Amino acid sequence: MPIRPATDRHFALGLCYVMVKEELCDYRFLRKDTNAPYLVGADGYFVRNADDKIYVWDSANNCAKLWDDPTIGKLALEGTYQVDGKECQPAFQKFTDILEGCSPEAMEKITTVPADTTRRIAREFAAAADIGATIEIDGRTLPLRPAGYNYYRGAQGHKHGFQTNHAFKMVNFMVGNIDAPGGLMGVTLDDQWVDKSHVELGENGMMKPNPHQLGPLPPFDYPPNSYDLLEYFPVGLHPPHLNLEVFLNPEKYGVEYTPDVMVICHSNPIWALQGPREKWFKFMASMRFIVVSDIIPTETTLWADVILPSHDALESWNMTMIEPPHTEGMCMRQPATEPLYDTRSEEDIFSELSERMGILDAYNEVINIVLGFTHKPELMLEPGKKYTDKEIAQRRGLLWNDKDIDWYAEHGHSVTERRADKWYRPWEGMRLHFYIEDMVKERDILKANMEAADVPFRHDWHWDDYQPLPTTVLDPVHEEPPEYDLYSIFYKDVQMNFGESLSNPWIKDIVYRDPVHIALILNPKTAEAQGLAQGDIVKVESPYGRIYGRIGTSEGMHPDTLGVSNSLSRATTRHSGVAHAGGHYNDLLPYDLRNTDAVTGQPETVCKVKITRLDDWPEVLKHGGTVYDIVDELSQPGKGRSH
Amino acid sequence: MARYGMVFDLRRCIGCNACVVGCKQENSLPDGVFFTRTLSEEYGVFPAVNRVYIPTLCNHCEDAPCEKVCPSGATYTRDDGIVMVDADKCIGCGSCAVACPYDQRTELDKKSFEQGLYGEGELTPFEEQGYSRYTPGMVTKCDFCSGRVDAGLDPACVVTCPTDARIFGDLDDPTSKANQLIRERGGRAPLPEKNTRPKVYYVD
Amino acid sequence: MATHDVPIVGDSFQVGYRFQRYWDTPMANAFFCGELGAGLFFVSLWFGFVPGMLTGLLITGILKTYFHISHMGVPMKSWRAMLRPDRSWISRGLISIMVWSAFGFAHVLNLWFDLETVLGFGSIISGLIKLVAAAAALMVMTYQGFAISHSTAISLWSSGLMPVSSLVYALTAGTFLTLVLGWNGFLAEQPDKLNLLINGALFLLVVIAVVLLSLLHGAHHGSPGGRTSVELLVKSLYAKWFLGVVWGTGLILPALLLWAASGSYAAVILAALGVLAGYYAYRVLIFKAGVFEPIMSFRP
Repeated sequence: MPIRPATDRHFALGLCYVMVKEELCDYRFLRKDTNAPYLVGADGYFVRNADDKIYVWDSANNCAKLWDDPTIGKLALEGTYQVDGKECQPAFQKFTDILEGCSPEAMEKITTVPADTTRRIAREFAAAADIGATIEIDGRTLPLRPAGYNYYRGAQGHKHGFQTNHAFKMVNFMVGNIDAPGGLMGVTLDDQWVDKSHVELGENGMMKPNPHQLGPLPPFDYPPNSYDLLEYFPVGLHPPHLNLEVFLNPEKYGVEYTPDVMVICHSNPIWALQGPREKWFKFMASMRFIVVSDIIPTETTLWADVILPSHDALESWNMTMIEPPHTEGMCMRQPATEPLYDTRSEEDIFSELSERMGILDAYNEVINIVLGFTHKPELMLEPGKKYTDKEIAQRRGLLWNDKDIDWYAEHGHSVTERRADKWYRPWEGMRLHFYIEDMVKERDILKANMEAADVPFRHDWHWDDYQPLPTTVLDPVHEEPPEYDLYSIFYKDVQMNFGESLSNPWIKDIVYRDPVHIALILNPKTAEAQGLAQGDIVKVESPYGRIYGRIGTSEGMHPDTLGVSNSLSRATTRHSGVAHAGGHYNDLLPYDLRNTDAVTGQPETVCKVKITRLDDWPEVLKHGGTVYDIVDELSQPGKGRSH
Repeated sequence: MARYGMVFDLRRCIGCNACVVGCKQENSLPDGVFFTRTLSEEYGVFPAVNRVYIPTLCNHCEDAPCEKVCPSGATYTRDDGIVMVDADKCIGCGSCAVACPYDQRTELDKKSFEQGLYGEGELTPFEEQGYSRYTPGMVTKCDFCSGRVDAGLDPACVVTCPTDARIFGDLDDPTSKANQLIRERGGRAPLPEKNTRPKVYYVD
Repeated sequence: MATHDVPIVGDSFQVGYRFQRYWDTPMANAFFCGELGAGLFFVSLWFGFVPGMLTGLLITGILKTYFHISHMGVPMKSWRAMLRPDRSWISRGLISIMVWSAFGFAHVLNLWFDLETVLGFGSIISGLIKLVAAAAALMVMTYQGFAISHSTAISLWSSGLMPVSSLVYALTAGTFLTLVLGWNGFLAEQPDKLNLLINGALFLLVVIAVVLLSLLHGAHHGSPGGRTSVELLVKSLYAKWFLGVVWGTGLILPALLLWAASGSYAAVILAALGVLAGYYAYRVLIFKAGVFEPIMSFRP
């Protein structure tokens, strides 16, 4: 279904509108399994008594009661009430109020999805969800909801990332399919051991929230200790692009130190980060010493003062379980060959470095925490000792199911279907966060902290990003100057999930033969309206940066949109297999606070652009070896298979 | 004796081209050389647009024109229907290549053997062991991974396909999946008007 | 099946027509020299014109061989090309070339040194040598057209008129070259033979025109691939060359020259050059315009 970029949240809210207005929701789920009935005051907080217990409204007895009162007749989802002199509403009513402005007709103006389509999809979705149906699995009666709204990076990677994710979740909440057979399933990052539960009961019957899944959060501090301002994101993940924002404006953020050493392990930030390459190059150039550990030459290894080459996947041990949906268990990797060159495993490299720097004990301690060895103390890494990749892999296997490395060498893995009690509604008996009060709470805590510390940039902080329910606020990308008249998106496709695989000659062979990977793609009518033809050389500019390329057309592209494939993103490196194109799409993207979600650090991944036709390539692209040179070789008129 | 063929399920193919890479790996093919390709076609007008992915490879025709025109006898058909190319006999005249209506014959250019996969004039160890099975300059094609078939395995592209869009089997065996698909879903041969009696079928 | 909307694609993974480039300019050169030499030999044979026969044998023997070897993927194994005369026109052709070379040279030597008398093997043997040489030459003039049309793969090529075009072009080129080479020699003394050749040349030019038109017509109506090839030749990519050189320089100009100025040696030389240019362009363009059909198409 075609949609204007950065408007998926509005489409999702339109679906919710239809389901609420036409009463297509799973009210039983909303009442029993979520905090939708909890009463919310005008200040955005739940209405609580002196013991901090939350009130609900009993519409059968027409009075307020505490959420766990056994005498509740019927939990109200709608209405406005007075409790202890305060006006309040059930959280569901608060959402319904937001939805008033989300009719399919109103949303069509933003998304270009026809109102009729939105209505049809909402009805089909709700009908397919078969609300009320159940299924018995392993002796447990579960809701059966064969409909789900799933979403990935493109749909949710916007300035208002948190609200956007929440809006998609709401579509699923409406039909009660959360973690139900047929519905939308939650995924853990890494279970670590078989019986580990990621679900804990929190306060007032709600599930305990679980922010910052990738690692421990540094405590609030000013001046900041993290160059990427991690202290100011109590809820969310790691915003690497803010490193550039801080580097370019150190006084604004009050940083007391200037980093001058960089250690990079097996990643390619010079290629992956957003913001213009030239500015990132300045950042790199300001470093005194750069160490990179990697397997192949990349855009980043070009900057290294020292490269510590590591074993590749065929030369090393590893034990891992990552983001498993339907399965659980460890997958082992063992060397298929002796190392071909004088490489070392990453475990060797970093434990050796730690020892020489005098931080080996701390390094081991962090591994124990992060990999969960603290759960089985006999597996913990001891102070003062260095451990090999095989030893760590062995411990992870033992942690999971008490099986040693020899068992894994024989079986390869311990993957099984996920245990049904962990897979389906593991939070049974708890309430999910339909309304995320923690947004309001964390906002106010952070505000208070920043106030107390007199943080100068607190006045620029986007406090309104913290919302307990998704709203219709537009992402700032929609409000760029009108001269930027097209949206630009970036995509990758199944042949190259990671742009790095473009240095693999087999992958390169198939990618540059696919029409969607060899040009900047416009809808043919849009191209015509812009005065552009297939094959035209163009400069594409956003308010933040520019790239060059050649136009191609496809009916599959939304008329408002320019599509840029990941295949065009590499920069020239010493790796002879990599072909550069005209600049990385990421050069077009912002890296500032305005376009960053204050809640999660999510940067905006869509941009508005304008296109200028050029008579010829700029000088830098005329030296051969570009993607376009390869494409020309393959597709000249009169060129078939060469003899 | 089996009569080997293949069926492509166009409902399942997602155009990932993993089969193409799996084939390149199995056969140690040089840069730009393919024994199989998955093509794409876009049709329709926005917003009613579609893209279909169509795997292709040598159809191992029962009336193989490449075999008919081969002047040296390098191209021949095995008893099990696999059309083979003898690397020792091929002279690289290209008669087979212009005789194949499906454009499935490929020349193994001397230059690509010398340049190597990275185009730097150095061969990787993988290439060293792989290229020895070819004569540079020969014109060859998919052989249904005949070595794997002889060992009771399916061709590399079939095994690699993540969606089971490629089905290999004995077309004469009514219990084989290939045979069943052709019968139950109306398998059609490509370019039937070329009268080559291909043994690769497509189901929609 | 495929429609006009299906594009011509290069070496990409898109559904579409693909140019054949296996038989490219080196092969066109080889075919050109092969037919030209055999055609010159054949025409000269009728007039017992030894220089013409010898030139023909050398053109094929040296030039065709050179261009063929340069086209071959595995040149050191080229001798294997003769191993399957039961099914391959290439094999038949190679054997014919060897037979023609042997008997052609034998015939030339016979005429030049009067070996019939010197070695005393009788006129029946001489006649047999001449017959075999003529038949083999005829085969060489024609077989390449059969080789081109042997498969249904490339619609432009799979016409029964391919071998006819080979034969007719070879005869025409042979006629013009005989005219040029023999003008100051035997043709100066035998004006009736000169007339025969001039009229024959004119007639053959007309035949070529008819054959070409039929080829185009057949391809155009035969299949979408054929239609695409014809469009390439008469409307788009190769139109300039096909219409300008094959037709203009190769047929119309020589015809006009012969019609108006057959008495002028310069005009005849110019006409011959025009014919050769047109013939060569035809050889090359027939290869260049050949396309493989798309395997299938879902476009409405």
